[in-house]
Amino acid sequence: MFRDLLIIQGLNNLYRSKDRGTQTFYCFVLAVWLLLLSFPMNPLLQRMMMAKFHLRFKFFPSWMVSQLIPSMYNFDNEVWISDQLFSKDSKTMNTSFPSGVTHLWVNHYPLRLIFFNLQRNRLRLQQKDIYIYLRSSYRDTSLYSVYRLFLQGNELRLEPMEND
Amino acid sequence: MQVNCVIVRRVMMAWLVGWYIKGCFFFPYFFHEIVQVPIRNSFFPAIFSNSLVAQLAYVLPFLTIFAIFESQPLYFRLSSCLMTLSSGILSWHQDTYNDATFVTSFWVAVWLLWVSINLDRRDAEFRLHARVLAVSILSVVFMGGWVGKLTAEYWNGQIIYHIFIVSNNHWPAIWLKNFLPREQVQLWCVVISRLIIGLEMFLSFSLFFPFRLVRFWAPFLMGGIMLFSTWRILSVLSCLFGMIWFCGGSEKFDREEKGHLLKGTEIRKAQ
Repeated sequence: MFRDLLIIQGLNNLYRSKDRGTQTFYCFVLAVWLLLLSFPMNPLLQRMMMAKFHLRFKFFPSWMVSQLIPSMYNFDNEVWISDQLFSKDSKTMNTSFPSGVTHLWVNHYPLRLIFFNLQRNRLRLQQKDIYIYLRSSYRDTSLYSVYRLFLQGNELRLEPMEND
Repeated sequence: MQVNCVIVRRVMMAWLVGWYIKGCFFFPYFFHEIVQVPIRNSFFPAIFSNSLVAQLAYVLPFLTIFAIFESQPLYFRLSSCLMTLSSGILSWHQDTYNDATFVTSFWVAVWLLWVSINLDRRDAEFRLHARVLAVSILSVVFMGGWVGKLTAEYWNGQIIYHIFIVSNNHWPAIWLKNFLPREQVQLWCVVISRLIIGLEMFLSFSLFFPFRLVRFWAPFLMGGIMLFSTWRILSVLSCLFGMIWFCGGSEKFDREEKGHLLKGTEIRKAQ
């Protein structure tokens, strides 16, 4: 019965084959599939994928590798946007933000709210520093980051601040 | 025409449809927004925050159209290299890293590159590997989405409610907010959220199903996901749809090829 499965047929055939290119391609695809399958039980991987969303990798090449792992609509990603900087103690909880603070949910990559829009000029015209608070949660793992968006010369700069 | 060329041509066309379907957003974004109002972030090296790099990476895959019309093996190989490179660059570029279009396009482009390199092979093993790899890529993409949704917040519809109803100002969301009581909208979000999780689970494990089942059901299920979210997700799904649907078209072509061979034998016998 199992021999009829497409993947078993492919792997059986691959075992006899001497085509190194195809073997490498199989290894690459199946390794990523297995890695993703372990995701719900692997807090380290969960934290790594959250760090990918928050641009929190220490080395850019490792972030580049992580970017090739698909992660559409992952996690509970919340964003608070304000022109005030809130202290560390008060910002880890949703309820501790004042009611006037813009609060949004994002499907993935929460900083897309800043980068990925056709109204960047509105951000520039504000002339004020803007603080962006990001929180991604998945089961017992969560990651919190703060970014500051400010005007430098004619261009906007987005830089991380204190992070957990 | 050789079967593999037909498959590559069709998958490339589906890839290009997904790549340019959000052109009404991407063209003003690449050629006006990121040039007029650049955002600098020290995380990205200069090359991956350069607007010209993003513009070239987005526009150059259009050259693939020559390969589609000319059907030369060299053009197919060059085009798949270009598609892989462009989708890789845009997956790592500061102004586009957050769009899943480019990651999915990258995986399909790698598959196209592998097929283009093996374009001359007509053996049954090659066809088998093409299908297994196509279905495995589909499984990887949806596994990436499915595992990230295995949380209480997705299961109780809370995230779908906030993303598609509260933070959304498109007409279906406005209509729902105006005409249905909040509790009813939230209940619908629970149903839709669980349905999406179920569909993604099926697609994540599609490498364990018979190919015919995946080939016929995957496009319908992807259509269902699109229906429950937004048409824009077609930019992510179009290349996957093309890869799954067209890589299975070889059975018909096999019969045609066999038919041609038989005809040729009969003509030779008659002579």
